[in-house]
Amino acid sequence: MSLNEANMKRPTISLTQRKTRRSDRGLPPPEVQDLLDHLAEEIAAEYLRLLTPEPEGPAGPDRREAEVNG
Amino acid sequence: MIDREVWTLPEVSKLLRESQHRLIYLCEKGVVVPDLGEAHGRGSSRRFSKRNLLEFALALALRRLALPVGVVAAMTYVLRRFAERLRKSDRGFDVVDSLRASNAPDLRILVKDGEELFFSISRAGEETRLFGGIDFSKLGGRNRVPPLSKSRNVAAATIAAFGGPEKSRCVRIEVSVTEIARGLELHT
Repeated sequence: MSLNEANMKRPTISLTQRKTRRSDRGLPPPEVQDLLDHLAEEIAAEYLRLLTPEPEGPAGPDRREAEVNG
Repeated sequence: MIDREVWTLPEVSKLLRESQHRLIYLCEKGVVVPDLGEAHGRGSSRRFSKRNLLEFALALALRRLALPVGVVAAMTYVLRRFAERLRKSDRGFDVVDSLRASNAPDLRILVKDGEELFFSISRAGEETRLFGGIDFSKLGGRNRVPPLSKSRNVAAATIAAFGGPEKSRCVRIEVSVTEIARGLELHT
Protein backbone atom coordinates (compact mmCIF):
# COMPACT_ATOMS: atom_id res chain seq x y z
CA MET A 1 0.00 0.00 0.00
CA SER A 2 1.39 3.37 -0.95
CA LEU A 3 1.74 6.16 1.57
CA ASN A 4 -0.93 8.10 -0.27
CA GLU A 5 -3.40 5.21 -0.01
CA ALA A 6 -2.65 4.77 3.69
CA ASN A 7 -3.35 8.45 4.31
CA MET A 8 -6.64 8.19 2.46
CA LYS A 9 -7.75 5.32 4.73
CA ARG A 10 -6.84 7.10 7.96
CA PRO A 11 -9.84 8.81 9.56
CA THR A 12 -9.61 12.56 9.80
CA ILE A 13 -9.40 13.51 13.48
CA SER A 14 -8.30 16.95 14.51
CA LEU A 15 -5.81 17.49 17.31
CA THR A 16 -8.49 19.09 19.45
CA GLN A 17 -10.66 15.97 19.12
CA ARG A 18 -7.82 13.70 20.19
CA LYS A 19 -7.31 15.74 23.33
CA THR A 20 -10.97 15.80 24.36
CA ARG A 21 -12.13 12.19 24.36
CA ARG A 22 -14.61 12.49 27.23
CA SER A 23 -15.92 15.86 26.21
CA ASP A 24 -16.40 14.49 22.66
CA ARG A 25 -19.49 12.85 24.07
CA GLY A 26 -20.56 15.97 25.91
CA LEU A 27 -19.75 14.51 29.28
CA PRO A 28 -18.42 16.63 32.13
CA PRO A 29 -15.60 15.42 34.38
CA PRO A 30 -16.78 12.30 36.28
CA GLU A 31 -16.42 14.00 39.66
CA VAL A 32 -19.08 16.61 38.80
CA GLN A 33 -21.36 14.58 36.55
CA ASP A 34 -23.55 13.40 39.43
CA LEU A 35 -23.80 16.94 40.72
CA LEU A 36 -24.92 18.27 37.34
CA ASP A 37 -27.33 15.37 36.80
CA HIS A 38 -28.93 16.11 40.15
CA LEU A 39 -29.17 19.80 39.29
CA ALA A 40 -30.88 18.98 35.96
CA GLU A 41 -33.35 16.71 37.78
CA GLU A 42 -34.28 19.46 40.24
CA ILE A 43 -34.76 22.06 37.51
CA ALA A 44 -36.85 19.66 35.43
CA ALA A 45 -39.09 18.86 38.40
CA GLU A 46 -39.72 22.55 39.09
CA TYR A 47 -40.26 23.33 35.40
CA LEU A 48 -42.78 20.50 35.18
CA ARG A 49 -44.54 21.77 38.29
CA LEU A 50 -44.92 25.23 36.75
CA LEU A 51 -46.18 23.81 33.47
CA THR A 52 -48.77 21.59 35.12
CA PRO A 53 -52.09 23.44 35.36
CA GLU A 54 -53.46 23.80 38.87
CA PRO A 55 -56.75 22.02 39.57
CA GLU A 56 -59.73 24.18 38.76
CA GLY A 57 -62.38 25.33 41.20
CA PRO A 58 -62.23 26.31 44.83
CA ALA A 59 -60.05 24.21 47.08
CA GLY A 60 -59.49 23.91 50.81
CA PRO A 61 -61.69 26.05 53.09
CA ASP A 62 -63.31 27.83 50.13
CA ARG A 63 -64.38 24.49 48.68
CA ARG A 64 -65.83 23.30 51.99
CA GLU A 65 -67.69 26.59 52.26
CA ALA A 66 -69.05 26.15 48.75
CA GLU A 67 -70.22 22.63 49.62
CA VAL A 68 -71.92 23.83 52.81
CA ASN A 69 -73.65 26.66 50.97
CA GLY A 70 -74.80 24.22 48.30
CA MET B 1 -44.04 29.24 7.49
CA ILE B 2 -42.97 25.98 9.12
CA ASP B 3 -40.38 25.24 11.75
CA ARG B 4 -37.36 23.31 10.52
CA GLU B 5 -36.10 20.23 12.31
CA VAL B 6 -32.57 19.69 10.94
CA TRP B 7 -29.68 22.07 10.29
CA THR B 8 -26.24 21.51 8.80
CA LEU B 9 -23.15 23.31 10.05
CA PRO B 10 -23.13 25.95 7.26
CA GLU B 11 -26.82 26.60 7.97
CA VAL B 12 -26.19 27.05 11.69
CA SER B 13 -23.29 29.32 10.86
CA LYS B 14 -25.50 31.49 8.66
CA LEU B 15 -28.39 31.51 11.12
CA LEU B 16 -26.28 32.50 14.14
CA ARG B 17 -23.88 34.68 12.12
CA GLU B 18 -20.90 32.85 13.53
CA SER B 19 -17.91 31.28 11.78
CA GLN B 20 -18.01 27.52 11.21
CA HIS B 21 -14.68 26.98 12.93
CA ARG B 22 -16.02 28.44 16.18
CA LEU B 23 -19.03 26.15 15.98
CA ILE B 24 -16.78 23.14 15.31
CA TYR B 25 -14.67 24.13 18.32
CA LEU B 26 -17.80 24.03 20.53
CA CYS B 27 -18.63 20.56 19.16
CA GLU B 28 -15.12 19.28 19.72
CA LYS B 29 -15.15 20.55 23.30
CA GLY B 30 -18.43 18.76 23.98
CA VAL B 31 -20.36 22.00 24.51
CA VAL B 32 -22.73 20.98 21.73
CA VAL B 33 -23.30 17.32 20.88
CA PRO B 34 -25.01 17.01 17.47
CA ASP B 35 -28.35 15.29 18.01
CA LEU B 36 -28.80 14.08 14.47
CA GLY B 37 -25.37 12.99 13.31
CA GLU B 38 -21.77 13.36 14.42
CA ALA B 39 -18.81 13.82 12.06
CA HIS B 40 -16.80 10.60 11.92
CA GLY B 41 -14.34 11.38 9.19
CA ARG B 42 -14.27 12.33 5.57
CA GLY B 43 -17.63 12.58 3.86
CA SER B 44 -19.75 12.63 7.03
CA SER B 45 -21.28 15.76 8.40
CA ARG B 46 -22.79 16.95 11.63
CA ARG B 47 -26.54 17.54 11.67
CA PHE B 48 -28.12 19.63 14.35
CA SER B 49 -31.51 19.76 16.05
CA LYS B 50 -33.49 22.71 17.32
CA ARG B 51 -32.12 22.02 20.79
CA ASN B 52 -28.59 22.11 19.39
CA LEU B 53 -29.34 25.57 18.00
CA LEU B 54 -30.35 26.71 21.46
CA GLU B 55 -27.13 25.24 22.89
CA PHE B 56 -25.05 27.04 20.25
CA ALA B 57 -26.80 30.37 20.82
CA LEU B 58 -26.40 30.04 24.58
CA ALA B 59 -22.77 28.96 24.36
CA LEU B 60 -21.84 31.79 22.00
CA ALA B 61 -23.50 34.33 24.29
CA LEU B 62 -21.60 32.97 27.28
CA ARG B 63 -18.28 32.73 25.43
CA ARG B 64 -18.63 36.42 24.51
CA LEU B 65 -18.52 37.04 28.26
CA ALA B 66 -15.22 35.10 28.31
CA LEU B 67 -16.54 32.29 30.50
CA PRO B 68 -14.26 29.20 30.38
CA VAL B 69 -15.36 26.58 27.87
CA GLY B 70 -15.51 23.91 30.62
CA VAL B 71 -18.05 25.98 32.53
CA VAL B 72 -20.12 26.62 29.39
CA ALA B 73 -20.02 22.88 28.63
CA ALA B 74 -21.37 22.17 32.12
CA MET B 75 -24.25 24.60 31.51
CA THR B 76 -25.23 23.02 28.19
CA TYR B 77 -24.87 19.57 29.77
CA VAL B 78 -27.40 20.52 32.47
CA LEU B 79 -29.72 21.93 29.81
CA ARG B 80 -29.42 18.71 27.78
CA ARG B 81 -30.14 16.50 30.80
CA PHE B 82 -33.01 18.80 31.80
CA ALA B 83 -34.59 18.38 28.35
CA GLU B 84 -34.06 14.61 28.40
CA ARG B 85 -35.67 14.34 31.82
CA LEU B 86 -38.75 16.23 30.63
CA ARG B 87 -38.91 14.08 27.52
CA LYS B 88 -39.17 11.04 29.76
CA SER B 89 -42.35 12.51 31.26
CA ASP B 90 -43.73 13.57 27.89
CA ARG B 91 -42.37 11.96 24.73
CA GLY B 92 -43.57 14.87 22.64
CA PHE B 93 -41.73 17.43 24.76
CA ASP B 94 -39.42 19.78 22.91
CA VAL B 95 -37.41 22.14 25.10
CA VAL B 96 -37.18 24.91 22.50
CA ASP B 97 -40.90 24.84 21.66
CA SER B 98 -41.71 24.77 25.37
CA LEU B 99 -39.50 27.77 26.18
CA ARG B 100 -40.95 29.72 23.24
CA ALA B 101 -44.52 29.22 24.43
CA SER B 102 -46.25 32.32 25.80
CA ASN B 103 -46.77 30.78 29.26
CA ALA B 104 -43.25 29.34 29.54
CA PRO B 105 -41.41 29.69 32.83
CA ASP B 106 -38.34 31.91 32.66
CA LEU B 107 -35.28 29.66 32.88
CA ARG B 108 -32.09 31.54 33.68
CA ILE B 109 -28.43 30.83 34.31
CA LEU B 110 -26.69 32.85 36.99
CA VAL B 111 -23.02 33.20 37.79
CA LYS B 112 -22.33 34.48 41.26
CA ASP B 113 -19.17 36.55 41.71
CA GLY B 114 -17.40 34.59 38.95
CA GLU B 115 -17.29 31.59 41.26
CA GLU B 116 -20.55 29.66 41.37
CA LEU B 117 -23.11 28.40 38.89
CA PHE B 118 -26.86 28.59 39.54
CA PHE B 119 -30.02 28.04 37.53
CA SER B 120 -33.26 29.83 38.35
CA ILE B 121 -36.87 29.34 37.30
CA SER B 122 -39.65 31.80 37.73
CA ARG B 123 -43.12 32.51 36.48
CA ALA B 124 -45.01 35.77 36.61
CA GLY B 125 -46.37 36.41 40.08
CA GLU B 126 -44.40 33.61 41.71
CA GLU B 127 -41.23 33.60 43.69
CA THR B 128 -38.02 32.74 41.80
CA ARG B 129 -36.65 29.30 42.66
CA LEU B 130 -32.89 28.93 42.74
CA PHE B 131 -30.92 25.73 42.06
CA GLY B 132 -27.27 24.80 42.18
CA GLY B 133 -24.36 26.73 43.59
CA ILE B 134 -21.68 24.67 41.91
CA ASP B 135 -18.14 25.92 42.36
CA PHE B 136 -16.44 26.87 39.10
CA SER B 137 -13.21 25.22 40.17
CA LYS B 138 -14.98 21.83 39.92
CA LEU B 139 -15.95 22.61 36.34
CA GLY B 140 -12.42 23.23 35.15
CA GLY B 141 -12.84 26.97 35.19
CA ARG B 142 -10.47 29.35 36.86
CA ASN B 143 -12.10 32.14 38.81
CA ARG B 144 -11.56 35.39 36.98
CA VAL B 145 -12.73 37.64 39.76
CA PRO B 146 -10.12 38.36 42.42
CA PRO B 147 -10.89 36.66 45.76
CA LEU B 148 -13.14 38.80 47.92
CA SER B 149 -12.55 39.64 51.52
CA LYS B 150 -15.22 38.32 53.87
CA SER B 151 -15.27 41.59 55.78
CA ARG B 152 -17.17 44.61 54.47
CA ASN B 153 -16.87 48.32 54.92
CA VAL B 154 -19.92 48.92 57.11
CA ALA B 155 -20.00 52.64 56.31
CA ALA B 156 -20.46 51.83 52.63
CA ALA B 157 -23.18 49.26 53.24
CA THR B 158 -25.96 51.82 52.86
CA ILE B 159 -25.93 51.66 49.04
CA ALA B 160 -28.65 49.63 47.36
CA ALA B 161 -28.26 45.90 47.85
CA PHE B 162 -26.51 44.16 44.99
CA GLY B 163 -27.24 40.72 43.62
CA GLY B 164 -30.33 38.68 42.93
CA PRO B 165 -31.66 35.58 44.66
CA GLU B 166 -28.21 33.99 44.50
CA LYS B 167 -26.86 36.93 46.59
CA SER B 168 -23.87 37.88 44.47
CA ARG B 169 -21.57 40.23 46.30
CA CYS B 170 -20.28 42.43 43.47
CA VAL B 171 -20.30 40.60 40.10
CA ARG B 172 -23.13 38.68 38.53
CA ILE B 173 -23.90 37.24 35.12
CA GLU B 174 -27.50 36.47 34.27
CA VAL B 175 -28.63 34.85 31.03
CA SER B 176 -32.23 34.08 30.15
CA VAL B 177 -32.36 30.74 28.33
CA THR B 178 -36.04 31.39 27.68
CA GLU B 179 -35.33 34.66 25.86
CA ILE B 180 -32.51 33.08 23.82
CA ALA B 181 -34.91 30.31 22.73
CA ARG B 182 -37.49 32.91 21.78
CA GLY B 183 -34.93 34.80 19.71
CA LEU B 184 -34.04 31.84 17.47
CA GLU B 185 -35.13 32.22 13.84
CA LEU B 186 -36.47 28.74 13.22
CA HIS B 187 -38.76 29.36 10.26
CA THR B 188 -37.96 28.49 6.66
